[in-house]
Amino acid sequence: MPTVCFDELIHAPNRLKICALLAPVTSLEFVTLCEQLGVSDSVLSKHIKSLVDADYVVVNKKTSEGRQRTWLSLSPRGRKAFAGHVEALKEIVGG
Amino acid sequence: MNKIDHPITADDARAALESVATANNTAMNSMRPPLWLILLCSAALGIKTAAMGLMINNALWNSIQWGSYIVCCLCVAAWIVALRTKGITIKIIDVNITKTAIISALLICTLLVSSQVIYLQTGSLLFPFIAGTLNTLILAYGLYFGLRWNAKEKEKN
Repeated sequence: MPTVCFDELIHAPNRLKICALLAPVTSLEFVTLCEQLGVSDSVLSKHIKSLVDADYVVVNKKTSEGRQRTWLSLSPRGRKAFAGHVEALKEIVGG
Repeated sequence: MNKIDHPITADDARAALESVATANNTAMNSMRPPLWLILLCSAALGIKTAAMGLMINNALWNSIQWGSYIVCCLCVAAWIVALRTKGITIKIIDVNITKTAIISALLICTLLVSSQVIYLQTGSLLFPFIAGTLNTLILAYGLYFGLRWNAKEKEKN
């Protein structure tokens, strides 16, 4: 059971969606995340930077078939924070 | 650190949870194998199950059994490669270890073994085909709805 903890950093709409999209997968490519969120590269980069600074998201750059692909994944700390935030939201709705 | 004393209203929290659920649905839909792959993999497993029973002293059914086994493995590999091409990587084990998934896997294995055992004991050709059909249905249903069930089950735990 995750620790209930409202997290202001995750709560921003786009960052919440980023965490929700990253939670069920091991990693997601930057371009795929852009498409799924419907935001521009620069907007996504800004949100990712905040999450990386908080140690919630890990960025992994790999070269495949001659092009660089940026893979994003939730860190264990990020997974814990996201689960705790969702629990906090449920608690607020329930209470 | 990021905690605040007076968070949001219940309506805001509800809207945030809805947004999480929508994003989760999007992720689940993008991770689900395409329908043709689900049908091909399920049919291959069904054929393998039936062939497991019928292969006793029959080289043709033995070859069919191995052929369908290879098709099953290729389907899983194709799914993982297709996901990677789409920009998604998953850990199969992380995604699938839930109570329902374990029960489904055990049921599939039981049908695979019993297809052969019951055929050997009774000599009836019917049971391998019934077991094959059941395995096809279980796997097709599991591959189509499994990711969503597992996510819900993990959420409950």
